[in-house]
Amino acid sequence: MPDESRRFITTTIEVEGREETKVVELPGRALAPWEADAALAIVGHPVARVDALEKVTGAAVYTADRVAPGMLHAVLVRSTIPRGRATVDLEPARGVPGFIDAITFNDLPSGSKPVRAGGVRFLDPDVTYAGQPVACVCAETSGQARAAARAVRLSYAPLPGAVTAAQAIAGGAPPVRARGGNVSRSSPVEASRGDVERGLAEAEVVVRGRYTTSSALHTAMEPHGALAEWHGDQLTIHEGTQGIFAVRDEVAAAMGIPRSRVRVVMEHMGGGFGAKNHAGAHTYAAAFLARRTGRPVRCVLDRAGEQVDTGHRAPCTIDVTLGARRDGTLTAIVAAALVDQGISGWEASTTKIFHELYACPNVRTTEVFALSNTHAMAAFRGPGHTEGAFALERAMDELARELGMDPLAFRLRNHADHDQEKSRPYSGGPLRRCLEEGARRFGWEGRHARSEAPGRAETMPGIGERAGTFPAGGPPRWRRGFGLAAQVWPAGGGPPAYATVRLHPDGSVDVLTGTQDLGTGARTIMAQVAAEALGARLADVRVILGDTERTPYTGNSWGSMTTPSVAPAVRMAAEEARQHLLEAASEVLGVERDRLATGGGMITRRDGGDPVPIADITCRLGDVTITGHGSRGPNQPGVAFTTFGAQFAEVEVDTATGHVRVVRITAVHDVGRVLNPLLARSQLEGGIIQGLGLALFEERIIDERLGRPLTTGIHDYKVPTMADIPDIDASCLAAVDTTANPVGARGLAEPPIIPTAPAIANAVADALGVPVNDLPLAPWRILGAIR
Amino acid sequence: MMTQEVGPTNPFGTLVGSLRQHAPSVTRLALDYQRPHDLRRATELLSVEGAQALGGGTDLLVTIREGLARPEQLVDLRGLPGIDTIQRTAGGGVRIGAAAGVAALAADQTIRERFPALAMACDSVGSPALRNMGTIAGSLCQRPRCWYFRSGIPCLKSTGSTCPAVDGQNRHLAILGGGPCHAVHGSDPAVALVALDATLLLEGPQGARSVPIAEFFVLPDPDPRRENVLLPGEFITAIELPHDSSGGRQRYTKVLHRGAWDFALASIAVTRRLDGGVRLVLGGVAPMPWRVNPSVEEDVASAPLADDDLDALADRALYDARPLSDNDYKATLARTLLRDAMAFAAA
Repeated sequence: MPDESRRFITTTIEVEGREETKVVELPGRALAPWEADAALAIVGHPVARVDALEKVTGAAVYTADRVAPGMLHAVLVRSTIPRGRATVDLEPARGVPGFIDAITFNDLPSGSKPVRAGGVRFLDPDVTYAGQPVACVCAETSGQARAAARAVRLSYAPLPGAVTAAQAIAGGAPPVRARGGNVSRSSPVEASRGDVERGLAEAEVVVRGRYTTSSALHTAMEPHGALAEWHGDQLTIHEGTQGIFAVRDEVAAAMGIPRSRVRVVMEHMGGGFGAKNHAGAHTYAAAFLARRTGRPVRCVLDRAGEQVDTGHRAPCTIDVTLGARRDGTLTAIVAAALVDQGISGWEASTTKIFHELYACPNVRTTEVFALSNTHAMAAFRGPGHTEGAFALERAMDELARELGMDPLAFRLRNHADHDQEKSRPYSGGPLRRCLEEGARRFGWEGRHARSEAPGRAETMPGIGERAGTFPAGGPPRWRRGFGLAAQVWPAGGGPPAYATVRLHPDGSVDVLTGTQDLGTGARTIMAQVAAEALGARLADVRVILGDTERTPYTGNSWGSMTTPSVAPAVRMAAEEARQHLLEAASEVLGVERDRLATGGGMITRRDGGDPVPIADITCRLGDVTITGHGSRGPNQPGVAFTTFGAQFAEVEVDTATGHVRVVRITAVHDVGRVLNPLLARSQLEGGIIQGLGLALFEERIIDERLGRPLTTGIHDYKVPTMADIPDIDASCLAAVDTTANPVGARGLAEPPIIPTAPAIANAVADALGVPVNDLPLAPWRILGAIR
Repeated sequence: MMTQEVGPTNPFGTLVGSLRQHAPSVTRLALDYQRPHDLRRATELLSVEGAQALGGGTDLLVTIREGLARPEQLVDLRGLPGIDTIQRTAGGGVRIGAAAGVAALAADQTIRERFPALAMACDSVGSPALRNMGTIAGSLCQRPRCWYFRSGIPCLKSTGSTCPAVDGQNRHLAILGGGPCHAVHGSDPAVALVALDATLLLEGPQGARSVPIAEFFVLPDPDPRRENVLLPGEFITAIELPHDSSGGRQRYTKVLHRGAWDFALASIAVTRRLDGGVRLVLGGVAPMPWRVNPSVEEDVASAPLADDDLDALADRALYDARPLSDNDYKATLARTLLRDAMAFAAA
């Protein structure tokens, strides 16, 4: 640890698999971690969400529920061509009843740096994907705004483009944008260790395969939206976002005003999954139109806008070659990926997991990030790793099959007991524990005995018991299969994150921290941590978050970072408040400070006196407010704060219809201390269900001639329904990561989606005896595979 | 066109950029809504150009919002007396009011016992919310499913002059009866009603008439913009199921991509009637419910079937199938459904 005289140090933080170097402030004092045997009364307990009642009764207010006096409704006008120049004629819209105002690119402030949204210039008439906004209209009602948007006349001078990665990198392909090539600047991205040529020469068994994943759309329940309101030169934005401070900074820059003049508020949110990390076209449209009209403006995307213009999981094609000796020891891992970013995006590595998941001395990966005339990618829960895990874990099963080895034994044989890529120890884990515990819970050993079980009624999917049974006889139409897959993901969190805890005279407690609750339960977790550290009752703690003006800085809720970043800051703030409280109590009660403690909302005494309610002390203090501040310290260098997980799937495949039914999934993950098992299970189940969607249903479809997306609604873009959800046995290992941070927890948001699709695909391949290497595993794909 | 003006004229029309102030809400309803309580009035209202009948709105309201339908007046038929009742007729059949709910039909004891194919079909529609809101006539009159049409890409159903889907992403489109449009009809109950020889009672400006359901639906050739024989202003008032179609052996089977809330990739209604006759009607594979060649039904009705017979009959039933580039899996599904249904009918 650095010496105490230093206040600022340089540290490295891993976000979504990327490393960022930052100068961070050291907290005033270091906290001793809550050890595994610490007696915790609230943390680690299955506390119900603090806002559960609000949410289930519909009282919780989301962005689209907010109405400001005099508010206007804004609707974006979108290009229907993928590439070319759009000419916007607003005149027909002006005649629509209720029309108030409209903006195009020409109405934006000139001279300043262009505003960018979704990876392109905001309202740029030189469009680079279908669905790109070129204008925004506002009107008195949402219906009038929609009618006005529809009335806007667009004419185009189309240019040739490319709407798939394959088209974009083909020889003689037209440029997809005015400047820069059709691949990212750093493509191809290469990484290697050892000597794969030697590794392949040493291999006694080699498998090769090509794996493809679809473009998945985030499809959050709540669409993107913002309500912008100016009070003089002060702008307030209500927005369902994963990063209130990111939105603040971006909007301030776009408006040309100081950050202190922009307030971003986020109370409740209906899911983000990576698509809501930044201000979007809707945010800028609301802010500009509100400034022009002098009235509050709300811009909430409709479902079509949500499905065509808010980011996607970049579809990719990954060629994998694996080599092993007969005894099952991996000798070489080679992967080459082609990733279709859309028109812009950051390079979420799909091949990093090939370097991390298994022990192998020789690994080489190459990755090309192609740009195409489709909307830009956005981080999507476990970006890159999820796609990479599908390819790697499918290939691992193919190799196990060639070797005649059990897929679990094969993975254990090549288990990585430390970070292979950087040769450093893990703070927790390792994976072996998840694999072994998962196998035990799933009954992996005896699985085939179950597969022979006769007598199951054969029913058609979707109609359940109400449909008739099928005639007996003939070859078995339903096949059962079992598969597993594993996951690693960096989720240690890190600085900066700040929190303040203050006690009111009646003993009630505010926790202020500028994080966001995406629906994950962050508000509940922070209340638990504060109550625990302070010795208060949970019911007395209120968490105030999501407000750039009133809560201290905390970063985006991405990269599974919120819990491991913010919870330690909240704990530190509460511990400081507790110290101050005890000092005050010592003075009030006339008892020595070190003979006092807190717990359950009481000041407990070791001098034989009766416990005193905290409220009695704060009441005596009156308006002298006890306050504690906390911040997140840097991570220990040279350690990998990796999460681990293994999932096991049982499926049934109808070989006559190609329908796949996932019967059950067992998931065992290691994320350090689980702060709330109820919320942890929700996270695990949510990730698994989203992974099941990726495995079986979800796929953005684009007409390659028109460049237009066809899956513009949730009838055609299919997320799982309740009827698709299998029995899920999801749990976390009992573990505490005292190396990671003083609360002992790593992140849990992204890990559970990573192994689901490959576990299901491996089970389907097991059932059918043929490889299934292209997602989603829709009936037409299954029927094609077994033909 | 009937419209309603609510509130004063917009004071902000000339005051854009003015001081921030609360404006009186100005709502100009471009869409008029009427809920008549007698048939005469309903007929009157619907005879106005731009008027459209409204049931549960589960499809119509969506198409309006997406700009695919632009009615000027909605005539909600759910206020008509008896429009949602399910009752036995003198002849031993059942008369179903046009606005009877899809969920109500699925749960109705008479339908479940005597016309189970219809109950099963209703039970397989969409999701609980859609079944609770949707009406039987609305299910029959819903616009077809094609993601080009539904996402607003000009096509033969809308403002275009060609079908963008036939050489494009045609995975969900018709393998039978398509051309020049290839969109499939999405109604599950329609498939069962064809198998049950239902008759539709219509009302319109030219008076009442009844149409056998097999003649109600039309193929897209020659007019791809229409899916049925309803004349302007005409609407369904009731559906009659004949006594002869009741009982026997009946089944509706639907293959979906996901477990619920999905249109059929393919479906089939099969009945083995008490008079020995067989009906086989496919759904999800054609622009309308697709009854297989009656000679196939007769052969299924007339003899015990071996496995080879099932294959041969399925081949004959699908003789006219013309899959597009990406939807020949639908032929496989239809074959599976036909084989199972024929075995069921012959058992």
